[in-house]
Amino acid sequence: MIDLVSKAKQGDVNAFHQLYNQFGRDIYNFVYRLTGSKEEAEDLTQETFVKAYMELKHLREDSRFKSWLFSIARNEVYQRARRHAFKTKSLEEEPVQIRSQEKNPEEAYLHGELSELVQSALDSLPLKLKTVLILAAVQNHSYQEIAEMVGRSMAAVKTDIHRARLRVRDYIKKHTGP
Amino acid sequence: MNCELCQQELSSYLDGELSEAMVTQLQEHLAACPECQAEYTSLQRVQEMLATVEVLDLNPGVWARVERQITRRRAPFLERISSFGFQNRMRRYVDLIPRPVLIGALAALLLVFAVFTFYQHYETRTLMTWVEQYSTTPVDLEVNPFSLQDEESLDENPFDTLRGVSLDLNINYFSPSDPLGNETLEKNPFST
Repeated sequence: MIDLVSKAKQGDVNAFHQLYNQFGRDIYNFVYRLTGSKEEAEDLTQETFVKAYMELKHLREDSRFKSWLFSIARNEVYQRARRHAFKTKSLEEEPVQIRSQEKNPEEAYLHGELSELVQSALDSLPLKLKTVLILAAVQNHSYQEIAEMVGRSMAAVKTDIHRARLRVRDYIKKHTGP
Repeated sequence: MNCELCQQELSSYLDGELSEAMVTQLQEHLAACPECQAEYTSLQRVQEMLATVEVLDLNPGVWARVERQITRRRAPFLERISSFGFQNRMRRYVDLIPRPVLIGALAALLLVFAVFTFYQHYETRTLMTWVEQYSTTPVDLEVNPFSLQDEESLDENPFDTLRGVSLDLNINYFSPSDPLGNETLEKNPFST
């Protein structure tokens, strides 16, 4: 990866394309989980990589490319969120209830409703908590990487991830019954 | 390890962020505490649900858009600002001029324009101040300095010193009957 970053810094578009192939899907899924909209996610993924290419010369440590890229994606999402609220499918507005004969979460999953419920639970979180939970629990980044991505201390990140998990648990419990 | 610390560390435990020593302590506590074990089980179930989140494939067309944008942004300024054909021809000529010379020439042009505009504005304001002071009718005043017999007598208030001096004044009156000021009075209204 470091070789590719170094080449891309010198303007090698093919090297940058390989970096895109390596991280594009992760960035897209990260942004999609934050926004809840595929169109927004595609648009923001595009903006993230364009900005990354243009600003690559300012990246001091090539080894931190991944964290840096995610921090750009996060900033793009936050900027867009400030301009207008995302049209996410939030359970607060339109509760998605598990059907009575499928009270059990496993059964609901079999019917394809669990992922919708999880996304709704994520959407119910404030953007700050949602960001760190997605990075940790969905995309399996280390706390150190997440701290770099969001520009906060590891202790703060750890606390937020735990708070977010508790909120998601309570949310799912509330919407699936005991 | 007490229950409070155990429950605080459950997320870190699930994410594999605890040291080996902490993992041992936490597992010992969980084995002995049904309450913390229940908390752990509920969070573990949430983790399993989060892990089942579908991973979407990225539309292949996105790279084409990224590539198009970075190619465009790397292009020279003149190529970027327009896609008109004549711009390409212009660019060939402009590219022959060294960039510092081009920037310097543009700056000089801008400066000349600014000075000229300021001077015109200043001159007009000065003249209109005089006119407003000495006339009740708005006039367009033209003074031909070569017709002055005593040029040195032009002082702060030119009309005081111009009294009795023979000069040609063309005064254009802008009145309702003559809005364009076509009637030129060839006389000296200040002579006594």
